[in-house]
Amino acid sequence: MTGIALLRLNPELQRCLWLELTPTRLVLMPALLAVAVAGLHLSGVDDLAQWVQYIVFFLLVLWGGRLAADSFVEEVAQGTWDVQRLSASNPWAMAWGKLLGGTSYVWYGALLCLLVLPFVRGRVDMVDLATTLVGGLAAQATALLVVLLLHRFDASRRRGSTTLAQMLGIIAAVPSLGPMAALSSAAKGWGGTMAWYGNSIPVPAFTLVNEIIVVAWLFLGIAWLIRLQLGHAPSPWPYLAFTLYQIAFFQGFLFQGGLVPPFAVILGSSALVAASLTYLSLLASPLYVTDIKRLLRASDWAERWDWLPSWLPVAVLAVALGAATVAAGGREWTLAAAILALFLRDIALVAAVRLLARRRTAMLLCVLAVLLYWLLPEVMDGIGGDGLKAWIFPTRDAAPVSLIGPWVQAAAALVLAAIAWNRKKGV
Amino acid sequence: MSDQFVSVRGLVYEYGVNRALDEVSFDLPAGSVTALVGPNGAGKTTLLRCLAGLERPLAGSVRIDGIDVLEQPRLAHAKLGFQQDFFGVYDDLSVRRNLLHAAAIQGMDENDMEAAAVWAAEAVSLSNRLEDRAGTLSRGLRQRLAIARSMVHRPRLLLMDEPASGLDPEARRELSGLIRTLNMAGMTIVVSSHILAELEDYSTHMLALRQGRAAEVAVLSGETAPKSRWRLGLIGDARDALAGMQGAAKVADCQIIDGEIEFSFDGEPLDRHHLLRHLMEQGVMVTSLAPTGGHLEKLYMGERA
Repeated sequence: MTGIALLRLNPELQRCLWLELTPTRLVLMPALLAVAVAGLHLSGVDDLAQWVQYIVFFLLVLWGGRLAADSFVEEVAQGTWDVQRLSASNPWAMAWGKLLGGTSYVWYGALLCLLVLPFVRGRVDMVDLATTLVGGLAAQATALLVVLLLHRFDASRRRGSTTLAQMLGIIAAVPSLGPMAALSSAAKGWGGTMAWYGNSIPVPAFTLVNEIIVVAWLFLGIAWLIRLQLGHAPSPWPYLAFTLYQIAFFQGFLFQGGLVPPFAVILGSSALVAASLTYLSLLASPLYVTDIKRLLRASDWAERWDWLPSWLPVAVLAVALGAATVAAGGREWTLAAAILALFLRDIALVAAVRLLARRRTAMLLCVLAVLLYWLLPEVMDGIGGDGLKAWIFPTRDAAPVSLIGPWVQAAAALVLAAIAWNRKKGV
Repeated sequence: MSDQFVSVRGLVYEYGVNRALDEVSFDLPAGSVTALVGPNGAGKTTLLRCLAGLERPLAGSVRIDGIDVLEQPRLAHAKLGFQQDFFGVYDDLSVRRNLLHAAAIQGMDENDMEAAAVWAAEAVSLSNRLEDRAGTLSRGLRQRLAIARSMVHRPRLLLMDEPASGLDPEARRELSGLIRTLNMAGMTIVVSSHILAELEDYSTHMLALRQGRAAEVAVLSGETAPKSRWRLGLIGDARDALAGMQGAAKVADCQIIDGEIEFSFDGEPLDRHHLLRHLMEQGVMVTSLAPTGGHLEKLYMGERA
């Protein structure tokens, strides 16, 4: 395919290839790899193939994550991102063009390593190798997703996001490349399997397939964020779909052998997953006054749905599942009511902090989390045991009157959010 | 030609608690060159970014050639080019590759991209620098490249934010010529600038923004434009000359300013000849006749001619 044809097919990919695969760099990579492999060979390592796989790990996860994040951060720094946002390209093409194009240099290096593998001492497991490759893609996709998310918080931010994105990318690759890789190797030795929906699946295969699905979700997230950048209205559908997938995924671990878990357990665990993902989305999304105003001004339900924050439908789902859990006899209603109060309190507190604090909102939220979820409950527990703790934190078998505590907190947080809104809503 | 090539209705844009655009509405006809003027902070750049679909307004609508920019931003992007007040060029790519990339992201056919890149480079006098890295170009040349990138796909609407900043006088003159050429080729153009004299060279319309509130479109040329102002230099009593001008064809609003006569006149060169002959027959000692200039500035400052 000629450069022009590729440019037409995916301009972002061709642009990245122009920048990444310059003649000098194309020569430099094999030279560096040759030096590394020759050095390892001369040092007499037994399993050279395994070491080549480590090089692939280094290239794709450590370096690749940085390149993926840089492919966006550099554009913002150079002022070219606004030019890209004027593009008529579709967000999917831009997403994969940026993801694969921005990291093409390390994939070039990884390809060279794969070509070398059959000719060096030792052998690598093909599933392990495939997991390393997919894990590398996961690290890169995570890094790109993180910088896109950070850009939503502060579009003028030029630097500093790359390292955070790279670190989170490494964490995303851990299931396939870090402890899990070691674990899966050990598990293979023991004949280890994973039970999921009653099926016994070898751990390495399970890890590989799961990582592929994770990459697909990450890719959807990137494309969705780029779509927003290209001027389209947001929509909570992608995150709601992700939540439903995660609920279904985690349910699989409850089905052990031929046993079907009680309905209340299924509902309760689903509520827990939905609530966790509500917090994730709430903390990973900025709160713009104009977005709330758009939601309030929306003229029809379709438009209202488009402007709903991603966490809101998931939060409603979590509450509905929690209520269904109580109805199915899973937990006492007092505990559920206390949890619901704190759920509302937390949402209102995050909204208030986002509206009132200009900077360091993440730090402030961390301090609040430590205070409300650890320090205060511990102090109350120390003073008066569970009976007193229940006034501030959900506790099993608590007296119904203690619900006043959590609900007063929720009401106070909602009032604070309302004050923040009135102060910030402007005209 | 549609009368409403660009149609903006009730545009509201807010930065935090500050309202940058407040219920801004206007229409721009196809084939016009509109000077977007206003003081610093009036909301000119915000308005251009809303027109380009880079910013989503709180309320209102923007339609370009019938396409709702908010509903179909990518379709609108293919029809418009936006030269922003920063360069936005890829420093590590050559001029040619910068232009090819700009053509590609706007969905140009692969067979047309190369020719389009060459045409755009030629239009901004960068033909001899096609293989140079953008990062090696001077500030002025990078500005030209940014302009070329914005128009390489021959958009129907070209938005330009301070296009002349950073350009030397010669390049500014070339830019004026380029804007006229693009306009004659059918492009509708909106240019934001602080330099009103420069805008006057090529603008057919003026869109004035004051503190993001009132957007008013004034016609500068064409049949509905106000008559241009001329100044008559003379020797002797201007009051006699003023009396002599009464009844002259296509002359209106005569007034004495600093011993000379300023008046509105919408005649052709032959009409000017007839006017001069008429004045000389009246015994008026004419020393000069010239347009006053600063028409746009006067219009902007509220001194409508």
